[in-house]
Amino acid sequence: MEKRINDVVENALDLIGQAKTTKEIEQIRVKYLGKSGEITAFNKMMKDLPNEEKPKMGQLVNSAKERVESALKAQGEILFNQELEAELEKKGVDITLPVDINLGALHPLTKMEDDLKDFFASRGYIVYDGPEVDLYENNFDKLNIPADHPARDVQDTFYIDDKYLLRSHTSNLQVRMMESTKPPFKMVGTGRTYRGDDIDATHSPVFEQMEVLVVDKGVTMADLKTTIRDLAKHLYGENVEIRLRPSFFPFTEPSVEADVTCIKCKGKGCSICKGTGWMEILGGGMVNPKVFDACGIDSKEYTGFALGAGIERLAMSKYNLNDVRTLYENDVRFLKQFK
Amino acid sequence: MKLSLNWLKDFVDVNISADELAEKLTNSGFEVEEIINPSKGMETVFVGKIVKITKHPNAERLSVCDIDMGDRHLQILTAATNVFEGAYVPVATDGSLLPCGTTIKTTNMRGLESQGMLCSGYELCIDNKVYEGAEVDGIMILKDVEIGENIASVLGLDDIVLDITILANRPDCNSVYGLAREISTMLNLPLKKLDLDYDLKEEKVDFDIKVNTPNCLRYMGAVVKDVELTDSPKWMQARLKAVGINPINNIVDITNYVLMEIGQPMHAFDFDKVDNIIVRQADNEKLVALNEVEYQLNQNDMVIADSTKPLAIAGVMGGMEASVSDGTKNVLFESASFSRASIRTTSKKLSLRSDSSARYERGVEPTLNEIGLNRALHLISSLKIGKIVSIKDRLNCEIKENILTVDYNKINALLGTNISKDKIQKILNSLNITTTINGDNLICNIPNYRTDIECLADIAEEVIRICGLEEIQVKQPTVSLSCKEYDAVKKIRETLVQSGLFEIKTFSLGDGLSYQRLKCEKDNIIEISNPLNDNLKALRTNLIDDMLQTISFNLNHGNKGLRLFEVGRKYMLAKGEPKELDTLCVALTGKVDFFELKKLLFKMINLLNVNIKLDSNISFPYNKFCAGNICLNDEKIGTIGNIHPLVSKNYGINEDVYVLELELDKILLSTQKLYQYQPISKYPAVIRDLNFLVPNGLSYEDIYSEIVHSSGKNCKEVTLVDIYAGNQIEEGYKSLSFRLKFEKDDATLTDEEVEQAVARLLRTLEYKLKVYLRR
Repeated sequence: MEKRINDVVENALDLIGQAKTTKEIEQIRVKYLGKSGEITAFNKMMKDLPNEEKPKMGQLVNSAKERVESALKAQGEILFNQELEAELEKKGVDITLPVDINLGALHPLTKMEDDLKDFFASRGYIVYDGPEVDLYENNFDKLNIPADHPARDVQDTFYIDDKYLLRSHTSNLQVRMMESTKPPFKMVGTGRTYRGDDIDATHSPVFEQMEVLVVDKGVTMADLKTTIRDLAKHLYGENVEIRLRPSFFPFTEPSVEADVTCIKCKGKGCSICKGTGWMEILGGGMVNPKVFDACGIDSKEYTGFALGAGIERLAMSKYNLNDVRTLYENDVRFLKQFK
Repeated sequence: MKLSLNWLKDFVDVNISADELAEKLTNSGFEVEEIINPSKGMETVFVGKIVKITKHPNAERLSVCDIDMGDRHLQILTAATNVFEGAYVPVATDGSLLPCGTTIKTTNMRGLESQGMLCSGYELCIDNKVYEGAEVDGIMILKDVEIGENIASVLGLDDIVLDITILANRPDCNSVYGLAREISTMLNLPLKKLDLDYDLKEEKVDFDIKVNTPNCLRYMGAVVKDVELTDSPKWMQARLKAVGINPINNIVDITNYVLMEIGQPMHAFDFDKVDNIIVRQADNEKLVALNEVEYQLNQNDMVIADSTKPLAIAGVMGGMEASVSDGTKNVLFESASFSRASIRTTSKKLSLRSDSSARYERGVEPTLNEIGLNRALHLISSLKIGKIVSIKDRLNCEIKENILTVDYNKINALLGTNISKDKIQKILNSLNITTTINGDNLICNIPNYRTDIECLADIAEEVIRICGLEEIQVKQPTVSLSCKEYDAVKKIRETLVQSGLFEIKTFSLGDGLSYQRLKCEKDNIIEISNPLNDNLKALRTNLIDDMLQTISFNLNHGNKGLRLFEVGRKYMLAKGEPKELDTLCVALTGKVDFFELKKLLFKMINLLNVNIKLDSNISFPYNKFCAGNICLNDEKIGTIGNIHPLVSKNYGINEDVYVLELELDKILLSTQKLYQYQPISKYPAVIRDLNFLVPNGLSYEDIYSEIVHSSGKNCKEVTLVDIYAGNQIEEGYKSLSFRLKFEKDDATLTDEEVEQAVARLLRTLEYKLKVYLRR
């Protein structure tokens, strides 16, 4: 009997050792440990044995069962893992395949405008907006550009009728801000402007500008210079060099223009900066007292500074563009480069 | 303004290089755009004399020239055939890098050494205008020169010219002398005196000057007799050429010379063709100007006339008839000052601009007239051109002293600086602004030519310009918060970008005919009264036209499956006043349908706290079966849908385009979305699915809102689960399946309650909408 049990166990272990799949393991379990399995059959034989032999036989059968079970479990686990691995391999992917993130992009001019507005908005400036079709006086007279000034020529400015025109700069925002708001205030605005220039690589009759105005008691030219420095570093990086030159605008006095080291040649001189090593980025100055007077702000009490810049010019230098027309053509192959 | 450095040296002994001077000028407000050095490359080109010419023994076409260079002899080979013994020629010596780009080195040509090159005009990059004979085929043959002379000085090119931008507020610097005055202050060097002396041999001359218009501020005239008309001296010609003016004759050259040197426009009349001078407004008369064009002049134009005829368009251009010409014996010089506005009006009206009118438009102040005239007479005298016999002067305005009193503390307060009053005084005095100190006040006497200085800010500008802007110390940056509308637009744009759309920017100006292409009614268009051309004459009244043009452009360039948007303005007249609306336009092409666009619309709207609805009462440019209006509180704020194929065709587009246009002004101002927690019911919900047979004329929205309205307070959710039209459905109907979720917050619902609610709902739908449950 004992030998028979041993033979059965040996056979079972042999079979288990040769099993190739979890399915075979399951079949072996049924063959030996199932209801009519060979080891289960020994249990049934127990009742025919004399009582004194029962405990010993019981032990033998149990240990046989345990041996087979643990072998099934061990081999079963190995095979299960192999099969799982094979299954996973089958489902495996080429992780280097491309994905379509389906992203669009903002227009480069918008990127530039947002960059400027965010810079100022995060410094407590109101983002201000105003009409493009405005009264003559908001575009000219109140900005100290009198009726006989060349900027008012018909070839430079688009007129609608004897009252309205298309603003030739965003400086009308200054007038509107000063007339509607009691100082102190800080304002930034961007928008469309119009001038009578034929379209070519560097001119466009429709273009965009940024305007900044700060009015308070005790605003000085040092505030202007600080703002220009911070803005230039924000746009062109910490290491940029800044140069201020005296300039002239009717609505500011003193007036300056600001240059930064050419981003292309880093100041060595190239075609972008016409060999000077410098790139003009903006103009500005201290608000002319005549403008304060015209806009109803007491020029004895308040001072202020204003800044203006062409968005196209900034965007073109930043994105290495050489033709302003590209910006308004909207070829998707161009727009895609700003994802 | 072109500034010749040789000319400048008449007044200031500049002791720095042209590059350094250019940088200093730029930093003090006079931007130097270009440094023109016409003699670049000519440094090692000298005059040589051909002593002997022999044939090259091994090359028939080459001549061997023995050149006397003064200090040495050179052997140079040439193929040119116009050389001869005794000729003076330009010789490029070993190591020259010529203006044309060629490098000259000693070379061996067929066994003989050539120690340089004889130059043609081409190699020196000059033409007949610079030197008569420069364009000859062969080597330039020089006249009246000395051996060893540098070729640049022979050609009159030994000068450096700075091209300087003169700002509109500084007309006083539009001249050599004006800039010299600035430069002397800048470099702290003495300004040499202008030589204004001349010999006056007064004679009684029968003529008078009358000024009969307030537009003439001063008129000075000088009569010069026995004039000999010739070429002006070489140095004068060279200077005029250097700044871009062609020499004509000694009289005209003097007027131009004074214009460039002093900034005073001058005019010379043939005195024998003039009886008197009357400055007046024109009276519908004609004048043939020096450019041989006849101009019609009226009351708005000022003329210089004599008792019978107009002689010149004041300040703009002289007339043909009384001009200086070959037979001229006696000359009348004019030096005058006119109102800026008057000259501008006439010059603009006639489309006629001259060096004179350009200066008058920027302002020529009356004290300059005298300096200009005296300078011209000095040149007449010193060049012995004629006899000065009479000078007359009519001053027609008051020449005022301009004295400003400013507090120096306020100058520092504006600039953010701390400059002492003594230093400010010193700076102002160096600018000829005679300044005295009285306590904290500076009393500044502004010279007449500084018409730009009117107030404290102007004085402050002078101070900081001379001090240098580096005097201003920068501060620490400051930081704080932001703005709502701008944030809302940014969110919308970001949502669209995340959904794969590209932003475009198009011109807001167009031809005003978009309504025709879009087959819509004409809007109240805002038109420009002076447009550049017909394609840019009106402000756009919609963004759809530009969008369709952009789509067409891209399809034509092979770009497919377009997903584009623009945030821009549209413009119209409302009750005669201009109105501008911030507007969004979105467009999709390719494998898309209406609902993809609608999804985008609601994605955007979800960012804002507004409720919108669509209604389908719409027509062109849309296909009305697949489009609608976007409404906010029953007000139309936009449109969405499929563009009508006939409209697309107008743009050359042959595929479906889905477009939405949305006015942003109203929705951007919406308040922030508020989130309020609602407790979740602890009691189980009951779900009922109902299939309705719906006639095609009814919309989902019609039925949905009726279900929500009539299904009782316990119905908490109504969702469309299926939509079906086909085989088992009668023609003209569709099947809509709704899932209703019933729930109570405080108790379990009974079946009975639900059945009652459903029965009530079905009755209402049957009665109101004739919609029945599908069996």
